Formats: sequence, structure tokens, C-alpha cells
Amino acid sequence: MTSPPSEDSKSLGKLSGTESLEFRVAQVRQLYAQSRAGILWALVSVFIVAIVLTGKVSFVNIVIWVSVYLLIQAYRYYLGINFPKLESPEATIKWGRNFSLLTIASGAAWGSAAIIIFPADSPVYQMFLTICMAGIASAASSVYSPLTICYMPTILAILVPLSARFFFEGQGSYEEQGINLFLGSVIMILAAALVSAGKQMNAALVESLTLRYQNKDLLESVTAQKGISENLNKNLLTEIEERKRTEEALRQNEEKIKKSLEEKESLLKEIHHRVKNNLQVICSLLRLQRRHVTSEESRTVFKETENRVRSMAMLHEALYQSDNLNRISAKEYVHDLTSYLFQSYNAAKQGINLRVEVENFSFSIDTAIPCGLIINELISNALKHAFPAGRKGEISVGLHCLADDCWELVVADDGTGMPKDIDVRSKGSLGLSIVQTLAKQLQGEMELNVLNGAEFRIRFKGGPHRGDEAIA
Amino acid sequence: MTGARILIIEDDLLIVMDLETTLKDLGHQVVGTISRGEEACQTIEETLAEVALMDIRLGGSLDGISTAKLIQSRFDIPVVFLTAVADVKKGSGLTDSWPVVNKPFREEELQLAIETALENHKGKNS
Repeated sequence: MTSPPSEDSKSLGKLSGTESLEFRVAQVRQLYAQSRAGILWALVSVFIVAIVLTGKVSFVNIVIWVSVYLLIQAYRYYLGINFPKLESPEATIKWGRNFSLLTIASGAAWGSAAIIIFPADSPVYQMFLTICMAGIASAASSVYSPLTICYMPTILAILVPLSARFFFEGQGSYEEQGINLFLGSVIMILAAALVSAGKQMNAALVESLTLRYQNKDLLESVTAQKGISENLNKNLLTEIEERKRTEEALRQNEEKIKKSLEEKESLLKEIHHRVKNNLQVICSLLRLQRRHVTSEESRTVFKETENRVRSMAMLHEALYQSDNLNRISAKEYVHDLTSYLFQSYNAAKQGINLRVEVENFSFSIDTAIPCGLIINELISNALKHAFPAGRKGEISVGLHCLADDCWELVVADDGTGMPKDIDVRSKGSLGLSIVQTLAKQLQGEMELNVLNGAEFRIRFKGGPHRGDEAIA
Repeated sequence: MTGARILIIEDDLLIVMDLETTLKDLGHQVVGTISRGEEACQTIEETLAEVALMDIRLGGSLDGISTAKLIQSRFDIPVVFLTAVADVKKGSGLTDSWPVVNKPFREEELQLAIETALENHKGKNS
């Protein structure tokens, strides 16, 4: 009997090779644990039977029977004390097989009692032996149930000879023969019942072990999943930490850039401030010098120069106040500049009207300075010459977009007008010469109309930017 | 109006020179010129100045705003700021009745600012 019975194989079929081995080892361990007390009980039973039957059957037979039985038990005992020393699963399985064979031999020894020490003449002692053997078989069905190769042959080895003994006990009356047949049948039924009970106990153990291994699988799977989850969590935490570090680095960079921009803005403001302060020094010098000249003409020259400087200072003021420190609102600048010039020349009191029409766009400093100085010259010129002897009138300033990237600055008055053939480059009109030069600087063209007063049109490309965004 | 007794607090001496003559031409009396805010209170005490005409950036450790606050706490005289910085008083906590003249200044602007400061001050005390 080297192959496991069907129910064992059925359960083992679900397990892997290693697990199958462990499963068999667990069965053998269970057998070892349950059979330790079995040996002692079997010895006690053998001696009781021997003592009780002495005198009823052949003494020689009793001695032979007890001797054989003791030899088998001695070997079983030897196997029992060796069990804890077993090191490999294969050795344990081999132990189980050897122990089972000895147990079957032990059962066969009990079965042989029905032949060699059967008290044929005494039904009472026959009953005593029968009860003892049935008890031993009952104990075997439960104690050796972990292994089918152990319990089933053992039960059969004990009870089949006893049953056969009763079946073949031919002497006596019909009544006695009937009783014997009945007893033989009962013993056979008992054998079947004990095999069945052993089988059930074996099935329970197999199921319990199967569940244990399945749970073990589940536990291993859960442990593996837990390990994977922990690794994922760890990776996630590392990633979060990394992201935090990156965000912190980005934030620090952003702060650095912001700080650097603030510093640049502060420096630019400082530059505009210093430029304005220097322009004040120039104005102060011009004013101090003006006070030392006597002729009205010279004083006018100084005053005009002061106005030119001031128109540039107003530009720096506007740049200082603008959000990006680079571009200014053309509308505000032209309004401020023309208003200042009108105040400076007391033009409003003289009854001269100012009309300013400037579209909403922004100037860069490179365009704003020439435009501002052109406006300064042309308005100053008009205020000085176009309205003599308290003549009233209007000066208009316009700055418009003609087409894409093409702009027109118009400064006009309805005063006395100018000679048609005026040479703006002549020494006598520095102001107009400046205007001509600045128009050239803007890469523009200047046109002069003298029909009703004087009208200067300067067309230039680039420079202004449309819209509020550009101003911001 | 009659001229006022004015103390000039400005660290650029060319501008001081211009201011002195301009203010005299406008009919005022320049009672003192100093370049550091720390000297302001003592000079006002000594000269009995009626108006302090002051730059924002000064030579000493005190700037124009701090000096003005000091003057505000100790004397009952108005301050006229003369500065290249347009938004000087923004967030400074100084009274709005004290005018600011932008550099480069015109005589008319300066005169108007002094008159406004004195009138506001007079209105406040009456």
C-alpha cells in the first residue's frame, strides 16, 4: 500500500508538490501524536487477555501470542522514540509507512488471537475475547484514522479472523451454530462501521488540513499583496516628497525672480528719480543764468530751454508712475505736456483755446521724447508768434493711427499763419529746425499747411502701441 | 499776500541756490538753509520759520517724510515738499493739506504750493 487512498489524493490534488509533501507530513505527525498512548493501552489489554485466558486455552499458544505481540510493540516503541529525530519530510513519510505496517501487524496479532487462543469450549470467554478485540478495533479506528493505510487494514486484520472464526465454528447444536453465524455477522457489521467511522474521521482531518493549507495560501497571498501595497505606498511617499521638494524649489525660484524683478523695478525708479533730479539741477542752472542776463530775448531763450528740459522731465515722471517703467500713456503725457505749456505761457488768460485729441495707446521712451519735444516746440512757437497783440484763437494737438504701424502727429493753430516759403532749417527758427530733426529721428515726414494759420503734420512708423494692455 | 519766512531743507546746493533767489523774487524770506533732517527742529526754533520747504531725499539719516513727521509733532507750521519722486506721500500717513511740488519746478508752481500750504494751515487754525 504505497499510494494514498482516493480521498487523500482528491485533497492533495489541489496542492502543489511542496504543499502535498507538507500535507502528508502533517498527517503522519497527527498519527504519531494520537498513537503514543495506543501502545501502552494495547500492552495492558494483551496482558489482561493473557491472564484471563490462562487455563482456558493452550498456555504455549498464549506465550507465543504474547511474545509475538510484544516484539511488534517493541519495534513500534522504537519507531516512536525515533520520530522526534526525523529531519526531512521524506523520512517522516517513510516513518508513517513503517509505523502503519507495524500497526497492521499488531492488528493481525490481535486477529490471530481468534485462531490460536480462542476458547472454543467456553462461550463466556469467547464473548470476553470478542469484546476485547472489538474494543481494540474501535480504538484503532479512531487512533489510527489520520492515515487510511493504517486504520483500515488494522481494523480488518483484527475483526475479519474473529468473524471468520464464528462463521466456521461448525460444532454444536443448530442453535449454537445460529448464534455463531449471528455473531460473525455482527462482527463483520462492526468492522464495516468502524472502517466507516475511521473514514469519516480521516475525512475531517483531511478537510481541516486542506483548510489550513488554503488559509496558508490566502495568508501568503495577503502578505504578498500587503508587501506590494507597502512598496507602492513607499514609492508614492517618495514621489510626494520629491514633488514637494520640486514645488519648494520652484517657489524659491519664483521668489528669487520676483525679488530680482522688484529690485530691477526699484533700480529703474531710482534712475528716473535721479534723472529728474539732474534735470532740476539743469533747470536751476538755467534759471540762475536767466537772472543774470538783461535782454528780454536772452531770457526768452533760457525760458524756452527750461521748457524743453521740463518736457523731458515730465516724460520721466510719467515713466516713473507707469506700471512697467518702460512705456507711458500717450494720451496722459500729451495732455499734461500741453497743459503745462499753456500755463507756462499764460495762454488761457490770453483767450487761446487748447484742443487735444490723442488715441489711447502707449509710447516707448524712444518715441515719446521726440514726440514730446516736437509738441513742445510747435506749441511754444504758436503761442509766441501766432497770436500777436491779444489775438484769440485755438491750438489743436492730435495723435492718430492712420494705418497699421503708421501714425500722424498734427499740431495746428488758427493764428496769423506762416510764410509759405519758410525754411525750417534757417538759423532764425531754431524751434522748427529742432522739429525737422526730431521728425527725421522718428523716421517720419513733415508737412506744413499754411492755409488757415499753420498746420504741421508729421507721419512716422512704429513706436506707439495700441490698447490699454500696452500701457499696463 | 505778504512773504513768508521759509526754511529750505535740501541737500543739493545748486537747487538751494536757485530756490533762494526764486523765493526772494517771489517775495518770501529765506530764514535758513539746511541739508540734513536732523537739524530741522533746532533751526525752526531758532529762525521762527513759518514754512518748511523740503526735499524727500536728504543728506542725513532722516529722510523728508520722517523729518516732516518730526516737525508735525513739535511745530505748528506747514511743510511743502519739493521732490522728483511723484508719489512720496502715498502711505506715509502725512496730512494731505501739505502740497507737493514736482521737480523740475516752475516759479508759479512753487508760489502756488506755498500759498496753498499757508491758506490750509490758516484755515485749520481758525
